[in-house]
Parts: sequence; structure tokens; C-alpha cells
Amino acid sequence: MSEDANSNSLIALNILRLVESAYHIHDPEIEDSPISVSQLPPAGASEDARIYRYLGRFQIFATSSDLPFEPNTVIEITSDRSVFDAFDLLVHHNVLSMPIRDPQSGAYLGLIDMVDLVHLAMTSFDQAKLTDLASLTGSADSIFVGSLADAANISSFNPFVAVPNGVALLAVMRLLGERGLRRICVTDNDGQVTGIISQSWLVRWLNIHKLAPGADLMNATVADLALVSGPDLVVSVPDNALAADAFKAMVDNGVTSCAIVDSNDGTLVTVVSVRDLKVLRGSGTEETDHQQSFSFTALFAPIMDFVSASRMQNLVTFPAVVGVRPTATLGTVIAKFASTGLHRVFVVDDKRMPVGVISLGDVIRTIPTRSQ
Amino acid sequence: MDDVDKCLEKLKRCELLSQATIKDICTRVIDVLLDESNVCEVDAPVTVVGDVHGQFYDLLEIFQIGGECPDTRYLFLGDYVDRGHFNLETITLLTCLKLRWPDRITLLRGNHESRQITQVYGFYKEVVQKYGSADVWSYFCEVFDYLPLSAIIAGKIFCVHGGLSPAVLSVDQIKLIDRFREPPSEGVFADLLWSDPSDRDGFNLSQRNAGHLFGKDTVERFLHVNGLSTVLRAHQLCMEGYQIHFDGLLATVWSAPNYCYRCGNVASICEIDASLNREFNVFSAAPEDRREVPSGQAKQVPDYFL
Repeated sequence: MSEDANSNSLIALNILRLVESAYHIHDPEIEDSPISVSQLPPAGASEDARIYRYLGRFQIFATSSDLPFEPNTVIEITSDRSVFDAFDLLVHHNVLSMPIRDPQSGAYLGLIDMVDLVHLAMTSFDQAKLTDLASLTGSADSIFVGSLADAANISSFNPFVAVPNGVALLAVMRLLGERGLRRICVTDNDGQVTGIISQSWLVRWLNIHKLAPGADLMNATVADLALVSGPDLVVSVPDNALAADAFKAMVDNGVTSCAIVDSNDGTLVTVVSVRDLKVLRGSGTEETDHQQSFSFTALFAPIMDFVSASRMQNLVTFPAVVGVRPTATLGTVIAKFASTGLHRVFVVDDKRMPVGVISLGDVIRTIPTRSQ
Repeated sequence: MDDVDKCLEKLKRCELLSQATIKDICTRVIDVLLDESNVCEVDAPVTVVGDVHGQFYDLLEIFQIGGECPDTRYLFLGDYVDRGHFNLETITLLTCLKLRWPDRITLLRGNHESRQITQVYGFYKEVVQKYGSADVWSYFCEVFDYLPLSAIIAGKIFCVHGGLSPAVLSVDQIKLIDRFREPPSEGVFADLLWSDPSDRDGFNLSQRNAGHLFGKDTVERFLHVNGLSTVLRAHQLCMEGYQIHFDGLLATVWSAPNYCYRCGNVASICEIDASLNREFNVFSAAPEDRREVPSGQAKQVPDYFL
């Protein structure tokens, strides 16, 4: 590594260390040493952009003009509630995760997210004897067992990590990229979580500010950037599989979505993701007791039925698959993420065979490493 | 055409035809559709119908209030199948009508007339449930490949399922498309079937990840370049059955009342007279007593999803 690259890495590492040692980071390996915002090192010339929670929303104050974003109201849950309540709230508010806090002390115990719930459901499914299907009551208690505090981050996908208001934008991207985080909590001076910066939010910002921090990067193809993971890394099930097979494949491979391919020719038919677990909640109205309309047995449905039920809950029709070619540019992929709100796109060849996946994390990881 | 008349009688009683009959009808209707241009020329007066989505009894309601085909000339804007409980009966009836009265009914292609979409949104599953195999689904998917993409009424009203495309300024460009295939996910073909109007000027990326959002300025430009007066399209749910955009330059017609049997919306058909005056005839879902479910009808949605 050249000396420049070396010193850049060192700066990055130091920024990361300082960010990590800020308020309320629950990482037992790092001592809690509260550090005030003013002690953070000044950002480099190209790293001026800082994210502030201001007037109820995230705004980036940078040298380029910024655009105010939609406010990001944080839904929280206390640890005395049930895991099912958490599931219900996530679906109802259409968010993927929320912080759990202790009702007495107000301290944050962690994050609970949809991936955790998939892991919990799959664990229960493993334990259920298939011959005993008829005896399955299908009640929520049989899948979402245990306390909320235990379920927090059982998938280890979303540890609770917090940064202070005014953290550098690139530092957040590095943090997300290098630690494999999907979201990060922002706290105010009182330690209250005032917002959650997610990968989706960052990508929407990148879509608007394509000229910074890596302009020519936007024209590079995803193949050039080695963003395309090979076909053997695409997690998939055939279209005649059961829903549980797909969710199990996600859990076993540590991913949040699973491709569904034609059982005859292997072409991409559609995609199922952790978000589709909402189908288990049933389509009751606000007045319905959701616990009663909850259905575990839906996991034994054919995967195409499961996906259909999920897609048809939305009155607006979307294409079965969001795919890009290996020749698509990074700018195009960012635009797709920004406009659809998806968390990954599949890469397909001209015969619609899946040849790779690009996640939000892949994109965000690319920016800081290449922007110098 | 006696055999088609017999088929029509059966279908209006919500009875399914045999697989062999359907195969024959599909093959014959493809011959009719082959001759049609990507941009059909349709005379006025004509009644334009938006999304139907397998709501068979509401389709019968449309023929009640709009008049039977061939007495009334019809132009359908696509989305015949998916989401409803009677996708098969709906598309079979419309296919037979096209075969019987090819000059009195025009059927355009919607974004749901595709293999990819029908595999997820219900039509494929209904065919397998009612016929035991997917053959009938593939017959109709082949018919879909031949459906024209757009129409112009009396040289003035441009009709399409979704909307405009940034790659199309002149209607002649639409005629160059090879439409006899599964719609691609990008490009002009996709735009015509998927685009939505928007408050923002110009063309923008759509949240649907298919087609584009198009603004008032794009409609003004398109109408001006092609000497047209208005655009008529479907594709988006309208609680009031129809919606007028861009100071009357564009209208959306929606013909599936109480959409998905839960939205509580009304629907409409757009009646255009010989002088090209546009009248939206609003109607509600067919009354309960006219919705007999034939015996042996399999439930569309499996129990564990209710």
C-alpha cells in the first residue's frame, strides 16, 4: 500500500474509533469513554459533509447544496412487550427495525428487526415435527418465543450502534461498510435516539448528490467495480419449493432475500425477502386482533403462493423482478435503489439467469474506498 | 362463427370452455390480431374501458350499462386478468368477442398481459386450479403477445394502458416496435404499459421500477407533435372511477369497482360520441344477487392467507 493510502486508512480507522467511542455504543470490547462532538477530528477536505438531526429531520450540511429529506420518526418498543408485539409494530409502521429500551431505566438494550424475526421463526420451524403439522395451533406464541430482550439482534444483522449528532457523512458510510451495519442510531445530548440513519437513506442522498463524493465512479459499470457476486453466491430456491425453504435459505446463508428461479430453466422468476414475512400477520383490519389472524401454517405454503399473497396486499402492481445487467453503471443502480426503496437488486444476463446480487451495503462500501 | 356464438352463450353464464376449445379460439384470434398495427385506428363513437382485473360480474355490468357488443363499439385498455376471482372467464369472454366481432371491439395490452406478472398476481394459479395444468395459461400468454399497444380514436384521442415514454415523440416510433413478445423490463414497450402521470415536469424514474413518471409538459409536447387532442389511459386506481389530469389533456379511466373486492371504489367507462365529446359513466360493483358463484369454483386465495 502506498504511503498516502496508508495514512488515509489510518485516518479512517481513527475516525471510526472515535465515532465508536461516542455515546451509547453497546460494544463490550470498547470501553465507554464519552467524547464530546468538538473533540472529533476535523474532517478532510473531501469529507466536509456532516449529518445533523435538525428540525426533526436529517440534513447534510456540506459544501454542495443539500436537500431536506422526509422526517424519520423513530418507533421504539419497551422490553416488557412481547416479540409478537414487536412484529406487529414493525409491519404496521412498515419499518424494518426499532430500538428496544428498558421501561425503567430508559436505556437502550438493542435493536429488533425483521431479520431477527425470520431467524426466530425458522428456529421454531426446525423444531416442529413435520408429522405434527395438524397439531400446530398456528399461534404466535409457538414461533415468537422468548423475551424481546433475548430476541434483540438474534440474527446479529443489526447491532445497536449509535453516533452523535453532527457525525461526518463519510465516517458513517465507512462504519456501515466496514462493520457490515445496515442502520445506525443518532442520539442527542441526552442520549435519546432521535433518528435512525439507514442504508436506504444514504443511497437516496447519493442519488441526489451523484457528483460527490465520487463523480466518475458513477459511470463505472457494476462489473468493473466487482460489485457483482458470482452466480454460485446467489441464494435461490426453485419455484416449486415451500415458503419455509426460502426463509431457511436466507437464514442459513446470512442474507435477507432469496431468488426464486424457474425449476425447469433456472431463470429468475421473482424474489422473496424478509419483509414478505408480513404475510404471516394476515390481512386483518385495524380492529382485528392480529394475534388471532396470525398464521404459522402459511410458511408451509408453496413459495409462489406466499409471494403472491404478499404482492397482492399492495394495490399497486410492481414488476416480478428488479434486475440489472452487469453492464449497468453504479449511477443507474443507485437510482434504482433510490426510486424503488429496495435493499438489493439481482444481476441477470440477457437470458434472465441470475448471475449476482448487489446490496445497498455493497454500494455504500464502494463509495469511501474509491472516493479518494 | 356458430361455434363462437355457442361459446359466448356459455361464457355469459360464467361457464368455462374446454381446454381444446380455448386452444382453438386462441389460435384463431391470433390470426386476427396479427393484422392489427401497434397503433390501432378506432372510429367514434366508442366506449373505452379501463382495468377489469378478472372481475367478471363487473364486466357483465359494463355491458349492461354501456350496451352489448357489437351494438356498442368497445376499446379496452388492458389488464383483463390478475387479482380478480374470474380471470379465466373474463379473458375467455373478451377473446371470443374479439373473434366474433373483430371490428367492434379492440383489445390493447396492459402490463398484466405478461407471463412474468401473471405468474405472481393470480392468473397462472387460477388456470392451474381450474384446468389442472398451465396449458391454457400459455395459450393466453401467446394471445397477449399479439395484442396491440395503443390506439387513436378518430385521429385525435391517443389511448394506451400506462402512458408516455421519453424515447417516443412521434406516434410513428411506436409502430416500429416489435410487439410480438414478452414485454421487456425497460424501453419504449415497457413505458407504454407501465408509465404514470406525475406533478413533476419531464420524465422521471418511477417508484414501480418500470416505465417512467411523465409530466404535463411531456403530454403537451406529444399531443402537439402528433396533432392529437388528449390522452386516455388506465393503469391506476381511481376511487371516483376516473380522474382528469393536466387541465383535461389526460384522463385515467378505471373500470374495476370495489377493486380486489375490498377498496370500495366506484368505476367508470368512458363514452365518446361521434363529435368526440367525452362522458364518464360511473357505476358501482354488480349487486350481490348477480354474483352467483358457480358450484365447483375453487377459492382463489388459500385459507391460510385469509
